[in-house]
Amino acid sequence: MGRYFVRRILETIPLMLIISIFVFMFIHLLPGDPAKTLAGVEATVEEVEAIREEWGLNDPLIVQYGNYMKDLLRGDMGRSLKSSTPVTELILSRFQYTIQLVLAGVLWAPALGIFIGVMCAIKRGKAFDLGGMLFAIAGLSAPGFWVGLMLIQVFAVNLGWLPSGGLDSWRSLVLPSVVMGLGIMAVLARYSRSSMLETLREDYVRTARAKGQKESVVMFSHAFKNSLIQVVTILGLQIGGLLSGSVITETIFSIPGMGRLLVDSIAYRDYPAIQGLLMIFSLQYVLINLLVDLLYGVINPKIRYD
Amino acid sequence: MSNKEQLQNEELQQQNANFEEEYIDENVAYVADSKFKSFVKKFLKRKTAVVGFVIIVLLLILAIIGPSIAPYDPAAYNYDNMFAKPNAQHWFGTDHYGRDIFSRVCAGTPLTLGVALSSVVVGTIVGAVLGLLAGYYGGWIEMLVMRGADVLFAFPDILLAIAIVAILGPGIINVFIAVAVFTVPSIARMMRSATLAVKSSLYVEVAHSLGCKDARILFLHIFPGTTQTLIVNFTMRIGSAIMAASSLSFLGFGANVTDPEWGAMLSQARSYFSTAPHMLYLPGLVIFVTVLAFNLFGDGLRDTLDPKIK
Amino acid sequence: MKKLLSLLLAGALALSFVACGSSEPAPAPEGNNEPAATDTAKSPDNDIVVALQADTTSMDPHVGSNGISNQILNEVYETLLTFDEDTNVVPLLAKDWEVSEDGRTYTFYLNEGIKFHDGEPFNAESVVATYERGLRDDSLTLKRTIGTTDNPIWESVVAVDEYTVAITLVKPNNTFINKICQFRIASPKAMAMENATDWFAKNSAGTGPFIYTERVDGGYTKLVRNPDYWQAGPTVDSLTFTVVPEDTSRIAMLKTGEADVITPVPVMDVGQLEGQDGIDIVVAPATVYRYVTLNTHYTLEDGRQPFSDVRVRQALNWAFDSEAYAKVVFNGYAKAPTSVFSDSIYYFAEQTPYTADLEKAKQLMKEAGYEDGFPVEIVVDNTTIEQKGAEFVKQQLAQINVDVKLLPNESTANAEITSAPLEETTVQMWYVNWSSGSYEADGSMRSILHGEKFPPNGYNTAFWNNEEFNKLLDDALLMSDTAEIADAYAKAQAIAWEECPWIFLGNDQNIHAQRSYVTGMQYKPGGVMVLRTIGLDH
Repeated sequence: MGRYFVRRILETIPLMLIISIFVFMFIHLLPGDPAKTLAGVEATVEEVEAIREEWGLNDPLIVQYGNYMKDLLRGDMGRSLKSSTPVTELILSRFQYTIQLVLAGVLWAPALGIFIGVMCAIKRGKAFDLGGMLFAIAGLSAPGFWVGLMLIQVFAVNLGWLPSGGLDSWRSLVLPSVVMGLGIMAVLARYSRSSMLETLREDYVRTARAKGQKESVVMFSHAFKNSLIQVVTILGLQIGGLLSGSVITETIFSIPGMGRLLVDSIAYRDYPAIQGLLMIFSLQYVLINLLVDLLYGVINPKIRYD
Repeated sequence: MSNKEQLQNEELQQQNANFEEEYIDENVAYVADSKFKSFVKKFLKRKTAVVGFVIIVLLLILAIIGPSIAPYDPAAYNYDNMFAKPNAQHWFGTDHYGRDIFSRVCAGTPLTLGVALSSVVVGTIVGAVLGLLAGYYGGWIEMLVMRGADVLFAFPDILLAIAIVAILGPGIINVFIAVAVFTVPSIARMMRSATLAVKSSLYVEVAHSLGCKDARILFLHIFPGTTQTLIVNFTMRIGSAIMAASSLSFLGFGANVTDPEWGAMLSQARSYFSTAPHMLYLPGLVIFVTVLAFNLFGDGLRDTLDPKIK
Repeated sequence: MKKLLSLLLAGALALSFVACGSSEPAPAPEGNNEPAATDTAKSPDNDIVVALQADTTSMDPHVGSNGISNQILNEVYETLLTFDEDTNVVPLLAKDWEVSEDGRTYTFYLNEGIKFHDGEPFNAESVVATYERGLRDDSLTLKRTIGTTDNPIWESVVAVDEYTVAITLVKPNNTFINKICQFRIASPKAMAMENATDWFAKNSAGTGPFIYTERVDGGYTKLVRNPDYWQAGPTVDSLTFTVVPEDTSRIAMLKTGEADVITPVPVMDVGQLEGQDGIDIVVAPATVYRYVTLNTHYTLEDGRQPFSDVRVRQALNWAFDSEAYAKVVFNGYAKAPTSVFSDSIYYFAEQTPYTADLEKAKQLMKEAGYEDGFPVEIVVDNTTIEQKGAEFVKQQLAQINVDVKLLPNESTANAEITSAPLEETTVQMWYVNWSSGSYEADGSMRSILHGEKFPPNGYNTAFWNNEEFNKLLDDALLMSDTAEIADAYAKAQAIAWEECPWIFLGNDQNIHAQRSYVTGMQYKPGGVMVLRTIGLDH
């Protein structure tokens, strides 16, 4: 198993390399000049040229890429063109807000989603099933910014119960966590329902029933535990999407997370920052996939890693 | 192969066993016919799915006749009647140009559904072909497709959308491309697993030993075995395509302000949240109902098609 | 001292800017619209929060270049002279100044006993040190004031005595006095550091009323009151600028009291804030001037160049209803144009407006041979308000058969598209705006209308080159007699107005909103807030 993980981690290196080249070419293809954007419209031609020179933007692309990789291998992601702080520092400062946001969403959504899904499967065809699934699917059917704005209007402006965003306390995280979690809740509810329905038909569940075990024991120690595998996969993929896909929540609720950093960096053509963020996003994608595989082993020790 | 895929494969092989039972039969046509009947029968039992289906049919009809039943010109400005609340003349009220919102919703139906459907269709076709090839041939093709999918998965969609706008210039075509591109990797991945499962099945091996050509095996024997997974995924993706279009508009990379695309309408309406909330509620409701319908239909379809849930 | 007194008086008067109540009754609030904050008339704390749309780019006083950087940096770093709310130049760190006969040497008499936040004394040497920093590094914004190495504007800066400094120009320049208001003085000790920009990113070394303490990139920038401020300063304990990009969220924060001041308020949202208890709306005159450039070299498929014909350009202006534009696009918070820049700028000269006259427009189009119109594309940023404006232009020009197609794109991409030189440009029309941060007539025209400022040297995407106009601008720059300058600029404006290389759209106003308990706010034209005497009513 150890060797399997070492191999998986080694496999990510070429992936990251490809992504880095891909991203590098991609962002330099974009029309727009960082030096000009940075200097502003009133800047002189000389000022713009000096900025270009200072940041090596006049070098051939291949040289720029070489320099970038050379620094990267030493663990240096360069400095942000926009704020001239080291990219590592910049991303770290943003990372905590995004991770807070993601955790806030993950705190309630999977639990509620799985609960709804499992209960719907148990009460299949009954009113609970219909209502639960409608509720879950409804959560998937409204654009995030729309939900966010509605929440602010009702809970912050009209009722005054919660702040409309920001970084002040845990209370600021409540509304964003709803927007973040809604999608996960819905997806998990659907998947856990169908995966539960599948496991309920498996032989071992039937056997357990036939042996006269209590229905609740059958449900939770046999059926539920086994349906978790699929659920964990989905959860992993969803969380991966959250980290890079929180732009809208971060914008609506004024949270300086990584999603907004990416959008701002693109607007400024802040090449080192975009590059750094993309590397982090791909790394977290790889790590989450790895973690999901690891969790399989915990849930079902029979799984072999080869 | 990772465990995840292995699991998916096991599951698919299981499905396949059922599938073979029914298909390795002389009277394929007969079985298919009765299978369809039983499918319809089963599907009709799922009331929410039927509701979803009915709404979709109505939407498709609206998409065809919508532009002609719109009571007003959806692009006609009326600066003397901006932000009118819903009333007898303007059922959904008017927007910030004094345009009739109901007419815009009608005129926007073919546009919104068209973009969502076509982008998902294109993305699904490309993804399915890549996935089929990867699963069937393995080797470097598989490596290329799967690593390519990994790169796309790790690549934030917003960056791609911005790049498309910046390079190709503006317009609704961006939404189409962005959604299509992001449909490819997940479909490719899913199809690869499905192909792997079907590939090892008995009838494919038989076909092989009979000396069938690769293309024939791929499209006549393997592809049909993967269609149900494909159909379900396809339906589910349409809802998310509509949502993605509106999110892109929110970030300024969606349709033009002139286009009556629903997502763009909703995203512009948010500036008038407090002054003219009807601009936000009604198009929002239309999007909600549409996405809900596709999701309900997709869910029902999956339940019906999945042999494990009976 | 008299000047100082008048300054304070001006500060008090600035409060009259605050438009209390509105002419028309606000619409009845829907549901319970009352903010939950306890007492709307009193502030719950002594910390002020200003919600801005975007973040500053840098805390280095000589790097930050967007409007928001200027806004924040001006509370920490000060200049020798500054603008009052009528854009007059008034003393700040210098208590007085005089100009030599030949108009080349300016002598500034500095206020004494002022200390930088790092404890260093402010004196003539610190002005010299700031100049020297500008000489050392080409990438700094100081270059805009002192000129570049190849093309210097300043010749020397000499410390005459500890509190007297003389700045000599290469040749007279009427914009010097405006530009000196952007020349931020920082502690020489800080500027001498090897990585000064890095140091400024985390430390404070100005003489301003607030000391910069901490910031979260993209989140907020926090300043605290400078207890040793050299003149009457703020009474609040701290001043925090938070970044709230979404318009609707910014409004919500003001309503809930999470923010005390918000800017900008989108024109469409003014209505819902008007008449709200405890909220004041402030409308500041704008310096932003909106226009559509008409590429005079734009060639149709049949080889004709419609915009090279002044009759066509005039026809577009006669066809465009700028009153309706102000009403529809800016909800009435805009002025119809009466010259090529805003009337808040010095040396503005009023021209006869192009009032909407469709018949005249059609007649001119007919004379020019374009009765059936022509197709044209317009470059525009992809924000809702910009697109809405361009959409309005499209609709107006359709009346004279000019078929406009919108090309909305990200502003950074547009900046690239519009910097292409004449031979390569794809720009046919550009929906854009311009404002001079230093309120000067030269800065309001040169980069966008002067014949030498075709892209990439400037933003003259009309590619309009009028020798007489160019000469008037160049001559005026060297003049020192205000009457002569005014005359030259008036002539220049008349030429550009008559020749109309643009469609003149108008200028929109800057709208801010604040809780009523905020005191001592001042606004300069262009919406720049002066927070020096800010306080909160308890």
